[in-house]
Amino acid sequence: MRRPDHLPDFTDPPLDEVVLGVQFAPVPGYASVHSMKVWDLFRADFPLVQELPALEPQFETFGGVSAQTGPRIQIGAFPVGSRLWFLSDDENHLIQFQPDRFLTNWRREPNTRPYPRFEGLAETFDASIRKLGVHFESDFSYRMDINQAEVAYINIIPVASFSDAGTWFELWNGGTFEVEALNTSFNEVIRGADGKPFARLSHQIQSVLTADGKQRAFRLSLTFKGKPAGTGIDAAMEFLAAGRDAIVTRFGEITTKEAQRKWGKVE
Amino acid sequence: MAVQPYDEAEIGDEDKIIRRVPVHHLVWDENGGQRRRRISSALYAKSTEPQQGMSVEVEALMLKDGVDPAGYVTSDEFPGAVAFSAAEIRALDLMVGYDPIKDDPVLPDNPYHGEVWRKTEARRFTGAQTNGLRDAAKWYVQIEGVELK
Amino acid sequence: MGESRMNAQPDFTTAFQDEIPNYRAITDGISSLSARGTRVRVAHPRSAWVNELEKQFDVLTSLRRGWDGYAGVPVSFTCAQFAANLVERLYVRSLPAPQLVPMPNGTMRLEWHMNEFDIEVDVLGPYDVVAYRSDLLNDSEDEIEIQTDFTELAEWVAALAADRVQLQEVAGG
Repeated sequence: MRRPDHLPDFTDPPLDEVVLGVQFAPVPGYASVHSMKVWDLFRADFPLVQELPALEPQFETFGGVSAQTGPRIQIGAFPVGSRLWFLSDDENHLIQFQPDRFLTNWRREPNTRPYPRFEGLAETFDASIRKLGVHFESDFSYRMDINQAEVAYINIIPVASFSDAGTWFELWNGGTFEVEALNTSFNEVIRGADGKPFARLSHQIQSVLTADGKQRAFRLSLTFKGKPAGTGIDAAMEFLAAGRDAIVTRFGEITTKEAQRKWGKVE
Repeated sequence: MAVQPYDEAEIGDEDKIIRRVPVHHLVWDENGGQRRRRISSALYAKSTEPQQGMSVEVEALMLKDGVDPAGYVTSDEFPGAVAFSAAEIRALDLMVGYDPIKDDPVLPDNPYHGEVWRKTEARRFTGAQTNGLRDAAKWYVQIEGVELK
Repeated sequence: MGESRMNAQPDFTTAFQDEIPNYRAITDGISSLSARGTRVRVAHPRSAWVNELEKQFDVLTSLRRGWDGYAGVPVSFTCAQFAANLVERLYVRSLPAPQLVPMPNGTMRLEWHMNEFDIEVDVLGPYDVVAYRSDLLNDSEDEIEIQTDFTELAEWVAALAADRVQLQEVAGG
């Protein structure tokens, strides 16, 4: 996989986390007791494990007046099991697994590591999801039926003051306001070549603080989420690549020239 | 249900084919100027599995066994039942055959169970077939205060 | 994006976001960073329809096998969740919530019967919806298959609130 030439490139971007993920129809017959065999697939590279509450299903639909992408609603018997994190030794990489979701996260912390680039992450994700797919077919006679995919880029931009938003973002023209906190978000509907909506590009800028309140930063999150063209892994990978393209292009559009110089934009 | 779709020759055109009406298939209808309770057309849908159909009971089999059909097909959960003639089903280009339930780990045995199938594999009955079943249906065990359509 | 810098990044949590109503981070859940924060987020408010139907969704996903007198299975969780998503998307304040009807094979249907329309929406699974509308005034029927774009279905639902008798009189019907 080769990085597309048209995408903006930076030597020192403020990237803090990248998430690639798919959602699929729950594996029939899966029970919590099967989670050990799933972990065995990845344990060599991900020897640490944590358990968290499961993520609720999400669906990107369009039309109607509601801009929300889905209510949080507790209904019926959720697919068994919780969400498991399989972590690498350095904890910079993790796999998230539950009976209807699979995600991989790269994060800059806790042990600062160079960003392995999307191509590297996508290759690893592709290999991992295919390994999982083979396991589902052999143990559950289940062919992965993917109904949603998502890619998220989360950036942390340290600032001296939240009033500096205009220095970093083209969207903000706050003039001389003394900004105490900032939270802004908007979604863009993404349409395919046929004109039909199939994904959302969500943008969010939040002011964030360290626990002691002494350091300030903006968190810029860009998430591309929706339904791939097909239900197989190939279609999901194409969707993720398209998402990355949209996110990186948009990052270049909504951040200022001054900010991009600081991040080492490659001209 | 392992039975392949077929049309049972032993089921005569005049034989009554019964379909239970569960409480969850009753809806409110406010059209026509008044609010009334009626059967949802969901009752006349087939399973979306291409080879599966719509469950029914064959009255003749129950009568042959000395079973009271009205009592057999109703309970609190399915308080009513409708019936069609086999001829009415076949006139919609559908088939009706035996499909007894036996030794299911969860469901009670039902030797009188049958299925109504399409002649070709499909996820749904056609609109004409669904409407035709709805129009042909008559109360077998009527639910008080509920209309057929 | 290129090489990352080597300086360590401290843990950040959002500043004062709890005071902002209806706040929900778009990456809540999938980001491992949100797990490190301890602030509680306010959930998206739900529509009156979803609030009203939550219990019924719970009933339908908890039905016993054989609920229909035959081999009926409960509505699948995934199907119900997608249907709830759809209910939220179609919400119109002036209209009653749809009636929820389970299907024997674990799918479900939304139904409205009012204003001389019958609308039946079969939710067969995520992104697999077939909607049917019968217009009793004009004696016409429509059927649409939908994956992600519910615009036309939303227009059907909105028409349930239209003053049809007056429209007909104006049209000379």
